[in-house]
Amino acid sequence: MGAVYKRELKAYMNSMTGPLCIGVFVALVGLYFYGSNIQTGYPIFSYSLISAWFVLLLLVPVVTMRSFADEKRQKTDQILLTSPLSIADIVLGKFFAMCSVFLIPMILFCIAPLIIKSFGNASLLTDYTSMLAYFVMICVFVSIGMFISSLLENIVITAVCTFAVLLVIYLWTSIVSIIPTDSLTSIIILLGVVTLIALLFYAVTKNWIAALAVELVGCGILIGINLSNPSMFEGFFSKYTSGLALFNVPINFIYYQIFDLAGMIRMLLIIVVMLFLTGQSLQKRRWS
Amino acid sequence: MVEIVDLVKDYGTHRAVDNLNLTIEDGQIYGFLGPNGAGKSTTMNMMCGYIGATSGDVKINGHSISEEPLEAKKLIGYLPEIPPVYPDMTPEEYLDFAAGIKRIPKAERKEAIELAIKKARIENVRNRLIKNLSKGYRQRVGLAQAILGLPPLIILDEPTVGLDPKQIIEMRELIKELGKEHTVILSSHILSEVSAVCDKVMIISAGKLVASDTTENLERKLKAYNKIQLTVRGNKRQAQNAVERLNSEYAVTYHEDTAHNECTMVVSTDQDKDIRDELFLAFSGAHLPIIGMQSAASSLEEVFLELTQDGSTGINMDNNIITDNIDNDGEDAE
Repeated sequence: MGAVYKRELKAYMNSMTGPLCIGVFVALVGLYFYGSNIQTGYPIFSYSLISAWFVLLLLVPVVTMRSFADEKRQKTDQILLTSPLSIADIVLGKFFAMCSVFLIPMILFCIAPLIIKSFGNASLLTDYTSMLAYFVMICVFVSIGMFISSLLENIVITAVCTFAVLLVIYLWTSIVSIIPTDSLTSIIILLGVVTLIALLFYAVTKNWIAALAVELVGCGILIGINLSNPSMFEGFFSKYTSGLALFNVPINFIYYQIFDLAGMIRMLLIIVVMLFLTGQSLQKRRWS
Repeated sequence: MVEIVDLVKDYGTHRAVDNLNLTIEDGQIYGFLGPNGAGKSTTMNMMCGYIGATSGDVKINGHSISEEPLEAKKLIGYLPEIPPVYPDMTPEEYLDFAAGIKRIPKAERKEAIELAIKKARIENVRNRLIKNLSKGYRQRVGLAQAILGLPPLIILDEPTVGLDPKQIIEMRELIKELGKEHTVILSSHILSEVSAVCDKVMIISAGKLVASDTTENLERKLKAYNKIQLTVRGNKRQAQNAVERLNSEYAVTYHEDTAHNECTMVVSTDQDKDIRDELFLAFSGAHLPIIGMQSAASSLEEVFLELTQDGSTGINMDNNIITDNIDNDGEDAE
């Protein structure tokens, strides 16, 4: 893992990608910091950090797009997969390297609350815990981007897909709020999701019987739940999927000043799932 | 060293490797020969664990590549068809990275890298970015990576593709040198290359092994002297009379060049014997000077083409050469 981590981090820092991303991130957050904290006198730095959320939607895909897609395109994955490295070594090495690219500006940002403190009151605990939550959220985005990169070969398409997924995560609360809360709409959407999963299954396995089985089992479960508990699907998305609105986790830390442990555990779980899926995606390519 | 048992690889409905069985012994250079798309790279990729087999197994020194991949991979140095080099690194950085992922102990790393650089002859470009290197040097950097840490098994997939003639000769020399201490498997679709460097040749076609023998045996069989093309000074009738005086039954085809008073013929027999002496005495007895004589058996290229065409099957692992296609033409027989 160490060798992969070292190579990846060096590659990011020696190319334009790392310095550019760090520079843009620091410059933008710095601008908000200057405007909100220095000029206006707002004592919480994390407020500036979360205000610059949109830059993550651009920077994360730029950093993650190459991770696996480019290796496949250049066939350099052959040296990784034929060396005595486990898949976990490869995935973790790359993941930690990409997280480190974002860790560098986060460490720089640690100075900001101290600057605020030098002017007067500062909420250091709120700031640092919020920054921790914010960084874990970045790691979630990195893991999602890396997983998408492991599925595709074209880095531009990888970046666009990652951007789209991150945008959906950002807008998730709004998307859920416009979905009608009646059972029928929820079931129809869920049936659509099941069909999408079955189609994906077919795309991966080329086995239409297995894909049909996935579709039928999925539909069967949905219909079964609906028959046994008809009220289950009322407001399904707002009840059960609000956890996907990951931006809410650091917001809880910053605006409500609560340590959202559930949110942190949820994010860590998503990271674990994404790393696992990335590993599976690499394995799958070996067997197809 | 390597044991391949019933190896199969399917890509959808296409069978790229079809029940391949091979045993590769220690300390020899093996040539894996076949036309494009024969399954050479697929087989090599399976041997190295880059892709998984549909069924069957590959064992490297007893370690199954599917069950004990890390143990098996430690024994292999692999240079794929396209060298897996990172353009943003220098050869030295790249080899340091390769040493890390190959788990070469830190204390031995520097020495191993220096040795690989020396053997691959990349001293003069060691600190240049790989993206600025020529195809030949990239290939050498890839080779340096494959030989790094001196693994007992070195697998090279078409190592001379894209190299200029001088580089090809250098690469061959290097492979020969490596063959003294390591087991080397190289693939190629160029016969001369394989016969120049390999101890044993395996010909693969449509995912199947169609011939396997030592280079010498293969060449000896192909240069059989039971089919001779000769040119004599004289006309066709005189040549026919001389041939009739021969004791044995021969199949002969004639081509007369009246302008130069020459007659060229191809004389062959089904028997496995050298007929040159007999022909010489017959024509000298008839006062027909022989002005040219050579083996008319198929060239290595012709046999290779024949073996690798559709329908060429049948393998004799004892004597390790296919009989079907060659027998059809009566050119060679086991």
